[in-house]
Amino acid sequence: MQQIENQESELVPQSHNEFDEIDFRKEVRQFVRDNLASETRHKVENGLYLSKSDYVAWQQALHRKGWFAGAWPQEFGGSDWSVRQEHAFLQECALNAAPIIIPYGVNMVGPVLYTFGTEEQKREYLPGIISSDTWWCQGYSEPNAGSDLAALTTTAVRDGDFFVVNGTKMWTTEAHWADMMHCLVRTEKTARKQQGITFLLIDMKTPGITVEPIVTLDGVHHTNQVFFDNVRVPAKNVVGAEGDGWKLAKFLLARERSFIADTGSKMRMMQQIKVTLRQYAQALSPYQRALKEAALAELDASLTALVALEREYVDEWMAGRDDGIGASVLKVRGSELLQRMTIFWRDALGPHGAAYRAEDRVGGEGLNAKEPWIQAAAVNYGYLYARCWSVFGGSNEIQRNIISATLLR
Amino acid sequence: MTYTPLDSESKSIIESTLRRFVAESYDLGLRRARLSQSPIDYLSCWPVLAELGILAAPFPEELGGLGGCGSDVADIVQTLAKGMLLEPFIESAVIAGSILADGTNAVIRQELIEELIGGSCISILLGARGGLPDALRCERTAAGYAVYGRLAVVPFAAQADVWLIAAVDAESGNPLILRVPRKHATAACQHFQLIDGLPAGDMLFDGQVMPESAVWLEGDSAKRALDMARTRAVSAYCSDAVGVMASLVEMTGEYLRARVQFGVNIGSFQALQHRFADMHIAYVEARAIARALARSIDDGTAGDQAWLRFAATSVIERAAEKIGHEAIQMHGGMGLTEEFGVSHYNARLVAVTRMLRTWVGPEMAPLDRDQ
Repeated sequence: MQQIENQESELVPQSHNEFDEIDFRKEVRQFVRDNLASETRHKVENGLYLSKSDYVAWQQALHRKGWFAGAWPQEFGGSDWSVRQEHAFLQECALNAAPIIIPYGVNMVGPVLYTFGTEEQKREYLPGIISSDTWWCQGYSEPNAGSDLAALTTTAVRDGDFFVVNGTKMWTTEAHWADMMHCLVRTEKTARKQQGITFLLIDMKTPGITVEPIVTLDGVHHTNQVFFDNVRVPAKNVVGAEGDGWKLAKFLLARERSFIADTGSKMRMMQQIKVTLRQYAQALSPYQRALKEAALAELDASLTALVALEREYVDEWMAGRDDGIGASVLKVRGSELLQRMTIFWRDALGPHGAAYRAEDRVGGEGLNAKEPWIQAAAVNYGYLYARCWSVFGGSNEIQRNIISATLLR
Repeated sequence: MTYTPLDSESKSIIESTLRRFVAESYDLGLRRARLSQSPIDYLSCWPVLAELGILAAPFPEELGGLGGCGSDVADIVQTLAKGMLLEPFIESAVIAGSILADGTNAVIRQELIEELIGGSCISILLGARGGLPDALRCERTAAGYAVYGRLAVVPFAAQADVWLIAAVDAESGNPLILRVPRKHATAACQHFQLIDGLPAGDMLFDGQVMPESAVWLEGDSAKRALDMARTRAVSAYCSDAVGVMASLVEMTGEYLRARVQFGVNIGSFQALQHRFADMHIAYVEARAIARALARSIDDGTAGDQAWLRFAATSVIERAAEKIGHEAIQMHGGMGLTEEFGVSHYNARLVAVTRMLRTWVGPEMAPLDRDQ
């Protein structure tokens, strides 16, 4: 971690008005060191598979400190963090090998509920989100509604005090861990497809719900297809008004994207890449080594630019300015840089860059293993999973549409 | 050795036979099912390949083969690529086959090639790939040759019946190829799985002694044989990659035509059209240079072959990365699933291009190359 501490001067800006960022970063760093379970830290540092309990335990440790929902308003259990503070917090956590915060509850449905929910909904759901006792998933995409989200056809038909839901949702990440789903359903067929969509909270234990695993290209079960067969959901689980779903979804997705550049993780990964390259460079000729170092220098420069870019957007948002496309710009650059970094990392392993077996990163030593093919499992998991980043959360094609549509308006 | 090109009729019969074989035996579901078994049987289709006569493809007619032309072998590998074979067609039939075909003892050579073509013996070349510092060395002892050195990521190390060990004689500096049945040879070997499901191993030779009688080729004839095997290896892996790219471009085209979002086929979006056009350009360029390399086996100089090994690897590595990743991206979520073929083809490209790099390093000096 020594190298990372040396980067401190790069991360911390000269001016800070709301809070002492240097102090806060130190406090976060110390907190992670003292409170992250060593087993979980070992998994993150070595690129190993994390289970639900790793995430829950870490989120609950943050909750005890009052940092889990720091960006929420105080009246709902948050700390009223500014964008800058949240940014500093996330970056420090990632730099110090904490697991990411799973966003479906705290960053997605939580803000929707405290902004648009009824008093009863706030009372019922916010405490479980903050304590991580209720695990949420997000039911948005469908087989024929991916990039074209508004084309969704899962229906909810009113029947007395209930809605009867039928249809299917795709790419429902961690639905197999979830207690609740926040879901977009069609309650009305309208001329404009963005209308007639309703934001509905569904208890995953309701009869008629089937969760089918989808194994992704990394050989891991992260995501699912969820089927609804006459699932009866109480009408009081509608958030906002019937037909408000699209508005709420847009509000939520804007939050999903704000820290999408995930720079803390990338800075940590860059250090790991350097460790790997140093280890494998011994087998290289001086010429091969020079080629690798030149390529690495370019990647490192791109990362410095991404960190600076994210910082500038944060400053803009702090100043109350928003060009509306910052999150899209950061998502495109961030995900594509991640992909370049992981390809480089894979190739730094030399011929062992061809090795991969998903099981080899469940337990064990991962990146720290002496067997190069075990290291390769951790590296190639990163390579394979990086392909997902340019597709999920609004594909990079959609982000580019947003950017150019905004600029060319 | 004279290579005879296949006539067009035989060629089209072979192609349709192989297409049928891939369709019947290499449906993606069957392949996945084979890979999910423990232990994985990497040779279950080997008898079928032998029966189809295709293991004879890399050999000249005088040795009982189909002709052995570089371009014919390349086309065959390209057709088989669609199935992402789990059997060592390239490693045993093409690469080791090339070393066997160059043997100087005509009687034994004939016997071994018949064995190989008949499917009863898998041979693997160890060492001398050229892109890695994986040179083995050997020392003459009273009992024979003691072999030393490490090899990284040797495909099918565990499946081979016979090792062809390429080593440098520590005393004379001459290359030497030893042919040793597995039952008479040992080496420390650690096995693992590649990203496309294929088996490989890291090997350590620590003075294991091979009998004097194991010498298959030595000196200049060993050097020539290794050079040819290297060109054939690179050509075959390049052709494999090109065949996989062809499948990816085709699948992506089908998906762009069929997938509807925003009320239209996504292929109607110009941004995707241009990227698809770039995939096609990368593919035909890769195919062209792979063919040029394959032709150089039949009528190129050693210098042509060396340059084309490098040039083809370089172009194909870039094309593979572009096509593999663009195919995934344009398939969106479907491209990310394990159930669908796109990600498997990309994994195959990753493995094949990593293999290519074991045969071809980046060290070619363009400024010094004769024009």
